[in-house]
Amino acid sequence: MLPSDWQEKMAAMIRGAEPLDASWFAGGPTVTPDEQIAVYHNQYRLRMYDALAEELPGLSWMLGDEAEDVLWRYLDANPPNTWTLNRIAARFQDWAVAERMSDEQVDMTKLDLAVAASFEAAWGKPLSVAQLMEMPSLRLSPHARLLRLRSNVHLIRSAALQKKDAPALESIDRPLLVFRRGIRVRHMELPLPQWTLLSRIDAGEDLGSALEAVVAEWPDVAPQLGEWFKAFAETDWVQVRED
Amino acid sequence: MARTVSRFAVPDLGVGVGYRVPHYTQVVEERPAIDWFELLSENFMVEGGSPIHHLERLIDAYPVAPHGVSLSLGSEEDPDHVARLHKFVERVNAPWFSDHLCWTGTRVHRLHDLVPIPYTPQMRDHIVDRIKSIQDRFGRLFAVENVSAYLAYKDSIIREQDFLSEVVERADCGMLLDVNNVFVSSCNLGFDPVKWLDSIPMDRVVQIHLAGHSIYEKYRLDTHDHPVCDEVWALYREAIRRIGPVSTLIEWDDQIPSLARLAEEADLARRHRDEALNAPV
Repeated sequence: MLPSDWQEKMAAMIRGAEPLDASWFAGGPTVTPDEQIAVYHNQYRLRMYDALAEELPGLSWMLGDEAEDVLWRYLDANPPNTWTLNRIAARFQDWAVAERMSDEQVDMTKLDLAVAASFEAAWGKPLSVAQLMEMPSLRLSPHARLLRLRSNVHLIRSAALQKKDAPALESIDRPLLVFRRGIRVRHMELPLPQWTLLSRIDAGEDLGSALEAVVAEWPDVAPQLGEWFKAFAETDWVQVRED
Repeated sequence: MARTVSRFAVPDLGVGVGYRVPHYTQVVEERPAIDWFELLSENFMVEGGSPIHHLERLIDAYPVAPHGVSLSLGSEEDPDHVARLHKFVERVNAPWFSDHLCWTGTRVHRLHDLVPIPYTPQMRDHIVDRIKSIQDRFGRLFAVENVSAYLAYKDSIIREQDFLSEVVERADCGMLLDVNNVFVSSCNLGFDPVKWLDSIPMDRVVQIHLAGHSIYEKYRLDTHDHPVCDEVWALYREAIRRIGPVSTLIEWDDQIPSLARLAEEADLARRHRDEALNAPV
């Protein structure tokens, strides 16, 4: 039987959720018991903040001097609960909405999270023309993510991370696809009909009805559909749904 | 042909370094004269992308050994972590895999730090059961590593070195001896690091870690952001004299230098190793 209650209490101390209690520790030749547990508390704070900021580089840049306060409020409310630090920001988007962060901050969060997920997602399974002719059920490839941004945060993020002058914030509807080509994560603005088609496909709609719905709303795209699917296959954005 | 060491007859891989992000591309393209690379398991327990791309190229070019940080032997098993670790260890097919004698969090809260455990019979039995279980399921040698300690528990009634010795004997597993951790802990907790070495079963050591650490006013911190210091080199030579030729790895995880600088540190380790192996007993 493990002293799990004891570990929970010590974890709470290290996280800063409970006051440090030095009575469990023996001290050392140069450090007191209080100082011993404080080392772990201080290291936890440094490590978690760095890991979260690394997962949210665009948002951290956008927040500037406020980043430390905001990221720590998130960490205090959402302490890490999985074995990998790669998921430390997994609940940030919901938290940001609940905290009434601005639309552009929420959008930047979505973009940061999409890039991080795409970076380590599985490879797609290339789609052939022969497969397409059979009108299969499709889905986005694991590394592809659709975002409907309300501003140009993707351009701001790219400029900021490359240490270039960022464009001014502009409130505008931006249908975006985040995807990986080779090992590099990229994003691309899509025409709304194309974004809508991919969105319907990814939601599980069958290919025929997704195409019908898009053509009904934007009749002039009908002649382009063949080229679109050729591009989807070449760029590995979609694959046959196997479930 | 690789020499074999220890009771497990595992290969002596020579002197390696950790495979870290800034060097992924350079290592696989330039193939530097480094004997082997250690893989931080959790970095590669993903589905695809850059980590897997570079992993596949590395294991075609160099011997590797996986080393984890999230097994949390001192707490309950996380089935998701263990399942992914198993898949990764199978993929790289290394002679052993390793993690730490510590706990890194509870089922609810993860600390992502290598927190020491209280050295009690109850904890010893728990750790032995966990190592046996994972070693049996993976069908591969596991090596447990001593951690740097910044605290000691009043409840501990067994010395660390005796605890570790009992664990590896009862679990019948290997040991990853982190010489820098022994030294850092000896400074922080006040014990003789050479006597510590004398208390552990050297025939179970399958790998050694070396690293640099930071010195603060009242304690030393295992930061892996400096060259190896003279005291740790001296302790390394003591260890090699006792163990013989054994796979050695330079850990440098923060303020990561150029690959050329890392190769120099590996060369230095090789010289210390040779000096110790050639010294009269």
